[in-house]
Amino acid sequence: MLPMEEREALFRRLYEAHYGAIASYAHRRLGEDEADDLIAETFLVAWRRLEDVPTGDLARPWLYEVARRTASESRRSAGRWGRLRERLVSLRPTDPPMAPTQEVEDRDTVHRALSSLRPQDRELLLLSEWEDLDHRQLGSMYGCSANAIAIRLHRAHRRFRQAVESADRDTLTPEDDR
Amino acid sequence: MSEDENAMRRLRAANPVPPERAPRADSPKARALLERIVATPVTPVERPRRRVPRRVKLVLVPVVIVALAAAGYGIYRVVASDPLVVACYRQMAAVSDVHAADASERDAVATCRELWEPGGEFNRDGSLPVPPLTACVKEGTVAVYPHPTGIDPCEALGLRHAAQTTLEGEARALSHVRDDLAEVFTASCVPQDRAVAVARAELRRWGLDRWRVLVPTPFSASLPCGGAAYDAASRTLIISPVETIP
Repeated sequence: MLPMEEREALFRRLYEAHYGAIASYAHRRLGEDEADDLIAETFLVAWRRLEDVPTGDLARPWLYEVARRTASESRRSAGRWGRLRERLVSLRPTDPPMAPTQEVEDRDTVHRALSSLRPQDRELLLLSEWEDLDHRQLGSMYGCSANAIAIRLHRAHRRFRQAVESADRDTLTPEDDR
Repeated sequence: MSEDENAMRRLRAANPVPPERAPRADSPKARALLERIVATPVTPVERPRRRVPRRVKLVLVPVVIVALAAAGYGIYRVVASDPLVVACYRQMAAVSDVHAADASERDAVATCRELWEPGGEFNRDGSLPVPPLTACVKEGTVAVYPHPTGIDPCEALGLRHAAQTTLEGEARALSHVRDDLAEVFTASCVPQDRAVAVARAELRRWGLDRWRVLVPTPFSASLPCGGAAYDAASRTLIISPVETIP
């Protein structure tokens, strides 16, 4: 085990480098109400298992994997994805009620498309596009090569595009009331 | 902008917490959490024997047994087991940026050459000449590498040359079967009888009537779920048992 002084210094650097990314991930996955617990749990695991955390650009995917597993346990018990989607559609809940803007409608379309994907495709897509992990980092999370990740992402992109096109067709455009 | 790029742009725009709104490590809340964590006592963690992650096993089980003789190109050329996708590499290196593209009746090299044309993914500003490109097989897929004239990238990287780089008949059908079965077998745990039934139905669906399905290793309580492997030489789809799907 690392000497305490060294451990603390190493951990502080890790925390400062990756807090923003993990906190953003937690907010996206579980919403504001439960994000704090996920952030705390993730970094607590890192603190306890600091010797296991990879160095360099593979530290962040390691943290994501811890967060992902913890979030999955939480979501599995309460069907969170649907509630998260509802929360995401209402961008600013404190605003007075108003007609949905184009931006809100588009987000809803995108989230409907995401909801229709297989969980594996959705997760990979979001880790790539929202968490900005590259193929090598994703490969370290999934235990496969960057080449395999590129193939899987390509398929996920294709399925997502098809899902968005389908969701676009399903969206009603009221033109006759004007 | 292509349809794929537009879909990705919309996905990124739908990010509920974009980077500019990311919580900050120097916020009072974050600082307070940091101090609580480093004040937490740490005891040595007993490490259990590390198992191979289930995901890796699922990926490994669809083992590719390649028809060297059937390809008719000798031992230096192999048929890609997954010809539906082409991996276009930016560099002639084991680790490099890679852009995956759908394979088609067009040659894989021609598919990847588009990325090198001015404005393409690998040549946005058009300042690069289109390099020589050669197709190899890496991890069962066709991988196209740029290389200096006179250099063989497949040999340099320890890879085999691709025997065929366009989708043809049975190879294309087989890749559809692989895709569909991968989706079924990774979505849930499929017991033996159903795995065999699904496999036979897929082969019929894609016109691979000359293929047979074998289960050389019976399923068991510890290995109850189906996985698939393909032997193109003997036209055999092998249903193998794997561990429980997470």
